[in-house]
Amino acid sequence: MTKEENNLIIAAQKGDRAAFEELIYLYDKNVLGIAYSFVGSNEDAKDIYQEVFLRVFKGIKKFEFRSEFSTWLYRITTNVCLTYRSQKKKLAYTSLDEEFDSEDGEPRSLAESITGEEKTDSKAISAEISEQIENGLEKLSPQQKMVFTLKHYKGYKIKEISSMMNCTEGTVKNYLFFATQKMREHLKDFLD
Amino acid sequence: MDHKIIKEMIQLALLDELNDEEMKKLHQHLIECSECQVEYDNLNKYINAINQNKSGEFDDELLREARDQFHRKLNYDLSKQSIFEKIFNLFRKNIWVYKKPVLAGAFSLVLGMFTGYLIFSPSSSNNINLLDEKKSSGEGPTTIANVRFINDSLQSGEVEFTFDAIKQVTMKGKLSDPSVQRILAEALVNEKNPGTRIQTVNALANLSTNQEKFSAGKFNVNPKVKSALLIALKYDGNPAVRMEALKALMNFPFDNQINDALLFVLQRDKNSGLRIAAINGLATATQNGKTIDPETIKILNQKIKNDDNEYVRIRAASLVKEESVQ
Repeated sequence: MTKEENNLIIAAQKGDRAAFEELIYLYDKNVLGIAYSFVGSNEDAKDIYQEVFLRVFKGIKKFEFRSEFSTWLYRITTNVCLTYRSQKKKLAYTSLDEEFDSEDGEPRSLAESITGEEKTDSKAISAEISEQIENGLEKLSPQQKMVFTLKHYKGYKIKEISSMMNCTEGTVKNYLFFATQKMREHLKDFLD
Repeated sequence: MDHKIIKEMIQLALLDELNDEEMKKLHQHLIECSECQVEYDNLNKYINAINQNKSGEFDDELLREARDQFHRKLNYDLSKQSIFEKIFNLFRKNIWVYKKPVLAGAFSLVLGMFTGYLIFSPSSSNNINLLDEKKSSGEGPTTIANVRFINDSLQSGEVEFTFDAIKQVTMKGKLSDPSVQRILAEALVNEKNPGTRIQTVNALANLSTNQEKFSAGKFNVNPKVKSALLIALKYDGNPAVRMEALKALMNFPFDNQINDALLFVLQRDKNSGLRIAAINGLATATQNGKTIDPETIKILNQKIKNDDNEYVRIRAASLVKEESVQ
């Protein structure tokens, strides 16, 4: 923890709102990144962001510098993610007839967008794999999904993940091995 | 070496989690074991596929929206701190400094309340019931949702959790009723549907346009209404809501809070229509006798140079000119 960060925390604990904001801006991009990777939706990621920082705001007076601020913050983030339930029904699949806004502003369907070009096959396969990964992730437990997300998408070390999730490295490894096994089974037809 | 352990080591190696010695051992094994080599190749293919299809990249706009939404919520939560909490905090901070007068005051207050209770002992409860039967009716059972465990230490035999208890309520009341105003103010800040927020802000605007009653003090306007309108003007994601909030605020007596909110919009709002409305609001206030402070002049000068909209630039220049003439 840098001296500057330390000062910001102390000021925030005394009720300095500007210091609190400066402090959270050091980390909020990472928090949003974790949330977005975990839930895959803008609205849900924003909800998680809000909940995390409200908890930080309420709890910062009790922060006793026994751990890094970032460790505490990410622990709150993973807790909020793990207990978060989306209030919106998500569509499992995007229809090929569904319209989206193209770069030139004209609405086009996904089916129209993948015709005739040289890279069509690889694009379509990649989209299919992405979709399968998303589906596979939904079949994991929240803890397995969180470990998978933090390791594969955010690149954290197992040791860091164990601090974030307040569990042992062995537990993190077990989640990771199980998630890998499940995901490999799920992607078997696409990768073999 | 046990193949199960090797498979785990392969995974850890591909995820860059093995130290040099462990890597050496693994490589030694892979040279000798074709089965594990195949496993290594397959797992490598799988991890590459995952890495190539990474999700989790978001644009800066999402971060900006998340920050704005959080600010809005935090401002609102802080503004909800009741007058009693403020008095309590003040009391707590100053109790040791002004121990005797504070204790004497507290004693008098308690004595007064006790005497009042004895004299006016209520036959029925006079507690403020926001949703009393005269103006509201509950329909259907309460729905419990979003149960979140804060602490579920089974050893201590206790659990701590939060949940949303949702019950649909119909309410009918006059806009002048502070409890109606409070609910509308909360809806303006928290309601997710922009259409509902526009309806809400229109209802609140209707309240503030009744200038005659407003200025005569016949309307008991809940302070949360103004606070909610200020938050909506600054942070609502929908420009139509922001515009209606601005119009409603212009019917309130012009003060520093409104002035600051207009400057905020003028500086930060990307919507030129809102910036025009904000600078017009400042101009109206000036015409009604409000003097322009140096900070406002500084912002207006920036606008003259930088604003994308020609009207805003011209209006800012004329305001600065008018002020310098005075």
